[in-house]
Amino acid sequence: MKKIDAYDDYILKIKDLVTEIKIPGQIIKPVEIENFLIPEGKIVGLAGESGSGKTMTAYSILDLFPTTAARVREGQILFKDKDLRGLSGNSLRKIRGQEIGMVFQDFSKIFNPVIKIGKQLKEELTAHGIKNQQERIARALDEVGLARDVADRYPHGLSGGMLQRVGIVAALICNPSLVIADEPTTALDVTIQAQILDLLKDLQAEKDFSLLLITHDLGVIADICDYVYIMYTGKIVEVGDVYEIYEAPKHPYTKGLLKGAFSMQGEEKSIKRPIKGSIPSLSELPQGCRFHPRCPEVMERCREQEPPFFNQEVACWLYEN
Amino acid sequence: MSKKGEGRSLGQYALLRIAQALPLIIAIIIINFLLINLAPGDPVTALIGEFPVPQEYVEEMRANFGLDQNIAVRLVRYLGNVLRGDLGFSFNYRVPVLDLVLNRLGRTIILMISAITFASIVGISLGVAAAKWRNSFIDNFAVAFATIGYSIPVFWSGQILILIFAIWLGWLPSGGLQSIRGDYFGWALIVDRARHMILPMLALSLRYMALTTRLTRSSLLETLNSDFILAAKSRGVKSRGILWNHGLRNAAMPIITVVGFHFTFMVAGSALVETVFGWPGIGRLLYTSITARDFPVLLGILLVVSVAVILVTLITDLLYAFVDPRVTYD
Repeated sequence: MKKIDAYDDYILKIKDLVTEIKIPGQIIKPVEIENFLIPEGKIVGLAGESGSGKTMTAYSILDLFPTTAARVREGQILFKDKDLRGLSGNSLRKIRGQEIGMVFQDFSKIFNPVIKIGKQLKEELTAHGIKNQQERIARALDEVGLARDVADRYPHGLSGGMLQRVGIVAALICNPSLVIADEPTTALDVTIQAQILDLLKDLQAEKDFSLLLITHDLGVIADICDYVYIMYTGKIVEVGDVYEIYEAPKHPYTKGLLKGAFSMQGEEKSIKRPIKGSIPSLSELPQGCRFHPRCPEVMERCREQEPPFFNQEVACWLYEN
Repeated sequence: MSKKGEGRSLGQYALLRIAQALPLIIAIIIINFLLINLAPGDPVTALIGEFPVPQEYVEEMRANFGLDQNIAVRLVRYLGNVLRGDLGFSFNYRVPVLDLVLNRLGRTIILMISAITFASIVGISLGVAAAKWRNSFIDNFAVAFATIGYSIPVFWSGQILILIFAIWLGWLPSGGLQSIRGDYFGWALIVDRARHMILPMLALSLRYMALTTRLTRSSLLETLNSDFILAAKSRGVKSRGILWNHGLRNAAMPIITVVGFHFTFMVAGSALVETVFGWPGIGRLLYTSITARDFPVLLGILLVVSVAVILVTLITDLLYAFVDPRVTYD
């Protein structure tokens, strides 16, 4: 497979993105991404432990944060070669939903509990000036395998799996060219997870949108992604196509994550060498390489200097040459 | 809501609640009756006052009013009369209690409804503005208004309003139901009465306006922080739609609760306001009846007010389901 930076057309290119959150007494940076690419029509994964900044990356793309304390401070977010950061509020609003759809982790909270599903979907279509709403909603519900009368129900009348399907409908109904799925299966039980994942994969193949899949579950990434970015404390530490990374992971963090992922799926339920410790707080980041206190292959240099991104593949001093 | 197989229909629920209210009302009558008889003083001494009369005359009046009977006998007799729709005869006004109370009730209801409506309109608008432009001048103003408005007692704000608008500025009449010397009919009478109602209405609504402002602001802010608001934004929904269709609709639940609740508390507030402004409503009647130890009128007022409170609570509960489909009647 081609390297991720060898394509001609990219739906999304992120350059030097820094997102910050003001917390009492200081400012933390949950996202510091130098280079992030999504080739047109591909499925790209973004993986890392909880707290590594994956969801904040998604929020930064749409410039939509759950708190007013967070904001994108600098960088470029080029969507179809147009910088989203230069857009006015209303132009950005038109892109949300219509050009970039978002599937959320917590499907139970993404619809207003007191408004019927159909009305909330109509509201989205109206916001983007789309006609034939009834027909469009019926077709979209068909596509995800839901009955049409779901539109006449309230969110509390649907099961988790059904709600997440409606969540996918809401993300796709305007035919966006990029879909961001933030842990779309994490809150579901295992059998439903597989269904939702297959559904996303099928819809992607059919409609040919690009998909950014955010998850901590490397099994999910292996299942459907073309490329994967590994994120740690807001920084990208490794990128590659999925086969390459699973065959020969480079960064010790990626190796640790993979060990965890596969020992959970294998026969032995215990992880032989899990990554020790836990992800550091963003307000107390270690000096040098941010992973060095937990790294089994740590060297003297790692404690002092932060590694750059070598060969457009990995940020680790082991791969300096 | 009438859903297949679950819950009750709206009509059934309302009937059930009314049926449940009946024993409650009877209990309220009994408790009121006993409480009033526990209070010191009696209507005969209040009527006679300081005037020296022979003891036989006092006994005769007691017998006329039926006050010489045992309290249990009087209670049973009173209950029987109430069930037949007879609330008794006023010692003080010398008219049937029901006529008296109903006549005054209309005026109080007009005053209360206009005060609640005014308080809700201003309070909700101010609360929405404060939540929408958070930490702005208008937000600070709303928060300050809510705190101050809530702390001012009704009788004081009433007197200040009279001082400013009636005495200094001379814009509005200081009290009463209508102009004494005016000879108005039709529209002119309505306008005249409305002018008389403005100040008592303002005084009565201030506190509830403050409460509604604060509640709308906090409830709306909380709703606007919900995940589904963020999700709606991610779908490109316009911010106006988010504020009105999502924000206010979901914030309405606590506001409805409190407006219904206000209604019950306003009865007490209206007694003060009507006294300050000389508004001949049920609150003022309550006040004069307490002074005159006019037991039948007191009992009548308390009964009517209890029924009103129960009705308003029922309406509030029914409104919930209208606003929130998750509410079922069980």
